[in-house]
Amino acid sequence: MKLEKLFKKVESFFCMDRSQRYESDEKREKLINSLSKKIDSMKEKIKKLDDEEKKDNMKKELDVLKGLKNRLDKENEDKFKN
Amino acid sequence: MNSIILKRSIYPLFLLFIAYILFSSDDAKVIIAGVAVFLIGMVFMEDGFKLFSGGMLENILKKSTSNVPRAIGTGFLATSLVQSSSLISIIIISFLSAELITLSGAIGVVFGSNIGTTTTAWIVSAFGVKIKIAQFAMPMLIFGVIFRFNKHKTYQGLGNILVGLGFVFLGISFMKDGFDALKNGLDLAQFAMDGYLGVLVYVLIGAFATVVIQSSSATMALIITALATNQILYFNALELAIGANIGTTVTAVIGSLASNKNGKRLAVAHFIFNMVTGFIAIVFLYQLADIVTSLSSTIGIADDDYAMQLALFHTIFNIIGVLVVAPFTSKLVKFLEGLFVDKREDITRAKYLDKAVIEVPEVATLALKKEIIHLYDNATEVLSHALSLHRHTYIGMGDEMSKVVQSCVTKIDINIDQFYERKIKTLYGEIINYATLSQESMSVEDQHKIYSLKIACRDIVEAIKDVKILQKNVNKFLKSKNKYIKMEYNFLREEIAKTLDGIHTMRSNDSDDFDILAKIKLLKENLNSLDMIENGRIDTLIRNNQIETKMATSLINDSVFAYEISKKLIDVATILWIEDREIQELGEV
Repeated sequence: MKLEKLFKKVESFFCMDRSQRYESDEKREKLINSLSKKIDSMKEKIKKLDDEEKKDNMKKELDVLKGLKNRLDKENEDKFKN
Repeated sequence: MNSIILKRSIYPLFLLFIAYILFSSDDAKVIIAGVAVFLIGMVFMEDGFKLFSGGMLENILKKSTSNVPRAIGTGFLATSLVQSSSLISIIIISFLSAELITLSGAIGVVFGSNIGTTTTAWIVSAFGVKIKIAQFAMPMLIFGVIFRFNKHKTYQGLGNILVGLGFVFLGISFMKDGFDALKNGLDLAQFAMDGYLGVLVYVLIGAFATVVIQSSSATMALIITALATNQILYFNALELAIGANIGTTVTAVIGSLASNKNGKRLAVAHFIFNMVTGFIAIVFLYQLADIVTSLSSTIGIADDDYAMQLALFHTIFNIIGVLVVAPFTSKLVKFLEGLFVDKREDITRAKYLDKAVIEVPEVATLALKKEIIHLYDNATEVLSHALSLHRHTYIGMGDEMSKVVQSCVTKIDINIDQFYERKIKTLYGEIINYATLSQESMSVEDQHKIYSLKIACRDIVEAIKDVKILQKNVNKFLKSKNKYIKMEYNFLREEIAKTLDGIHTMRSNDSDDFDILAKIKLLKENLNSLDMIENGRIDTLIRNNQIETKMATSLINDSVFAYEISKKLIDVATILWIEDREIQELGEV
């Protein structure tokens, strides 16, 4: 048996053979979750703000993050379809 | 001349001396080989922890030094776990240089680390000399090598730790076998010395051995194995242990000579602490030995188990040292700050790039990031002045920005070439050099981080070069009688000022990565206003005969420079102030 194959067997025995793609999908999932949480917390903050200028600025930032989340969701959907 | 010859001959003489011992005694050869294998093991373990912890160790040390008792606890736990006080020292010096922790916190960690390092004595005395430890070394070495071939950093780190432990155990086993065999030919115990003369002689031998071996842990392993094989007397072993504690500070002080003021302060603190501890241990040696005897029976150490009693003695006298010195930490800090005074800050030179930490990836990356922020701050000065602006006049002005920029029209005399030579070039060179050297000992992932930081550095310098070209026309058209061209150049200045202000706000606020990302995206959207052809601004000016053709071409060219400057600054901010790599990538799109 080739040494490379042996190492692969050892890796799979110790569950060390998670592919890079799996890891990146996992990371992406985490990113979307934390982005959702951030969007929710920003919405709450905006509700509590009295300063109109700050409110407007934060709304703009919120829109940016919402746009990013939509893009990530769409990318995920496309990946799933493929 | 004589001193140079003496210095040059010390090393070859030392090698000859070692070679003589190796050839004259087979047993000594085994002992010295044991020390060598033990030291190799320590190196592997240190490297392993650097890879395995993946920044966790650095995070713990950074966050758990808010007060001296906490710092002592952190230093103790970290060193007990890693088994390397030198690795902890390196990380602490870098944090001190980067102003992430206070000097008192760093001193606390050093105190704790001194207690933590005594766990090596416990490991050696509990396992090393009682069981056939070499049997455990073999599987560790085998599995360690297998893990080292893995592509994951964590497993490579684990592999290094296992290989390191395997070598440490093998080294102890060699030392023990060597002393066992030596006993038949030469009984070192015949050189035992009583009284305070014996104390001084053995303390000096312990210190000298540690200076030569460069590791107090290896000296302790040597002492314990010699004691376990009855080659030295118990009291002489205690004295050697005190010497090892003193000797290790000599290594630290020598190492700090090339370090910055923080490294020197910490090395002197370490030296003072170990000297005081050593002095107390020597003066109260017999009383401490009595305490060890009574404590040993309480915690179940056998009367004749001198190796364990030595480990207990080592721990007790270090704890006493901490109890005596720790209350004076604030005074020690004042003394050290007076001893190594802050020189007037030279902003043209690197502040954070400590060569001592270049091999610890997380710490070297942190130092580089800090230094590039330093470069960025220098660059914002030249960028503002080139546009006839002072940072304090426009930073934080928000909606008033336009008015402020229009009111600042007095040319600021700045020669960008000179400024670049004086405040940027040297620093830029030092950063690139440090980044390249640090990459050598890094994983692919860490190398990528360094690559991004190099890009940020290059963008800062490019922005300065762009502003140099823009400066000429800014100065020219701000004095123009044509109010339209003047207005347009004010617009370019305002847009760059807005970018600089936006970046200033995002880094000074309590923002998380997503907040910064959103701000960066908004700044990027704003960049479109600088595309004069696409937004039709230039067409309107020409069509209405508001500016001449020559002015129009200058404006088109300069708007591109303004766009490039702002874009580069935004890219730099993305790399420098967004920590998470995934979120950073979202900002780059």
